[in-house]
Amino acid sequence: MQGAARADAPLQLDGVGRRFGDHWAVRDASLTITPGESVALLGPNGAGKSTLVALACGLRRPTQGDIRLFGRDPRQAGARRWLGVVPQANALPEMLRVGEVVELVARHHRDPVPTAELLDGIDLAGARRTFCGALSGGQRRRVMVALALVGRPRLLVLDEPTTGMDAESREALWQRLADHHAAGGAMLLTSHHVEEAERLCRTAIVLRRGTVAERGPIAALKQRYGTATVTLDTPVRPERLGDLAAVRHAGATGRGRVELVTSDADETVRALVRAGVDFAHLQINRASLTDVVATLGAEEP
Amino acid sequence: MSSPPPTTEVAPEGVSPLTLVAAHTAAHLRELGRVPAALIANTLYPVAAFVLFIVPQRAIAADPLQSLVATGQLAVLGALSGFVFGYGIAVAEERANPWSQYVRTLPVPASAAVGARFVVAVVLVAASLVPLGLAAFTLSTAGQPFWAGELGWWRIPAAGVTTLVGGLPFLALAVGIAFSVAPRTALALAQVVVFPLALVGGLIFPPGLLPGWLDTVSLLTPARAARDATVAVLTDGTVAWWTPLVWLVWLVATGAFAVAAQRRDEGRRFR
Repeated sequence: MQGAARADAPLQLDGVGRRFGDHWAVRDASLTITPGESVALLGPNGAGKSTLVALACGLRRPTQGDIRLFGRDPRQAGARRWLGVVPQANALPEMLRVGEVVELVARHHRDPVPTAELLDGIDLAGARRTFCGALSGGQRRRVMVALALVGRPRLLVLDEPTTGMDAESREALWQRLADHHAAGGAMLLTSHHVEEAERLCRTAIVLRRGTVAERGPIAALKQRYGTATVTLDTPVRPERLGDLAAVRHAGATGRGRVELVTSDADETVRALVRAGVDFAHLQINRASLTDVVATLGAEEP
Repeated sequence: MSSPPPTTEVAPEGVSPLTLVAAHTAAHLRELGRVPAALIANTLYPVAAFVLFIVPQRAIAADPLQSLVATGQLAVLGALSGFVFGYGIAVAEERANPWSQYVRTLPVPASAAVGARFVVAVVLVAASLVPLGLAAFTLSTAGQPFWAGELGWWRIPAAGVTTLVGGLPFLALAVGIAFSVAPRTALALAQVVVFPLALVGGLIFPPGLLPGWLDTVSLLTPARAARDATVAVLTDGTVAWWTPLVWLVWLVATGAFAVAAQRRDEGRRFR
């Protein structure tokens, strides 16, 4: 363990591992989320995202290492006082009305957001008396978000929060989460939706086989690990372009165009011009976070 | 626990666990009330047993004391069955469902969430004793000593309370099992544990029919303790001085088991 836990850190993991049978779902994971910080937790399926979230919320006990939620063991109820969770699966008692569920969760907090205000904020004011079992998938998701927000949390843990939401609801939720961030709230987000991660978080943690492969500002990660593609029409054969600056791979596309996979599109274009390559219809696809996750999250050979 | 972390702002006090027990109890009862089928089945079990097995036996039904003993015995059997199969084992199913998982991320101690289940079980099992009492009064001679003034009316609610309190070790045992193993295993395990206890405890046949050595074993079971205490309260009888002690030892042991199992629990067994 690395010294004393930071009492003000919403979440801190030190060398955390969790084993299921003889499989380590999370191994030697260390990370800190500071107040107000929004962090995207990314990685391919099976990289350990859900287990890490379950550990952070106190749902599971680590096999080794130390987890602190606001300076305390997350398995203690008091540690979860400022935690708001949107779990991956919608979880609502079918036979309770929306308002009743919100009020039940509100009872756990000293200063909850008033139910009417909360439901209004996520466009569910009209559903207050609806049974949860009668809600649509997108409505359920929004109720889950409302439940996470009712206690005015300082850390939101969101596991795929916008799954099943239409574009409009997603936009409204992102706005609501931006408000949370603006008010100084921290966030840990897992998402397969890289647009969502980039929109809501400045920092990303990429998991590979249960361990933290890389952590840093999203922009820096993209620059470092992302690949752009430069596509062009040219009479030059692709093999002759493979040695240009920053190019990792050169090949022909199906339509007779040449595609250059590059770690730095700007550098590659400059090299094309310098080399006097004859080209037309240049198209550049910039580095995406998806590539970063694919590169970093890939199994080591 | 370690000393509180130094913070510049004063953290507000958490919500009292009793408030949370009340909130979760109300939510459970509301939910159960909206799907009354299971509720009705559990509530009618003891009275159905009385009507089917006691009322037709005129020798028992015509004798006030035997009627009272049978009523007390069935009350304990009904409470045991309700606690174990009606509500205790239900925890095994529910701890795996997403809502129960979600509740575990709220700032509520697991003990308060489980406490609410205990309260719900006690309330509903108490409700199942009312029709049993009415049947005993109308379909057998159990009411005669009360109308004749030989027994005080206070004995009826007191026997109900004794039944419920006496059954608590079974509730704790069932909750402990429910938190320890998978739902299907929990049901099988509960049956394996509970039926012998009920049989040896004199809830199915009167303890008078047990051979001497088995009667000694019987006296050490919580079922027998609950049965003897309930019958004694109902009929102005007596219990051995150590009967409450047997009950207490079982309550402490099963309670510790339930709490430990619940602490160890991580909800679903697999991711």
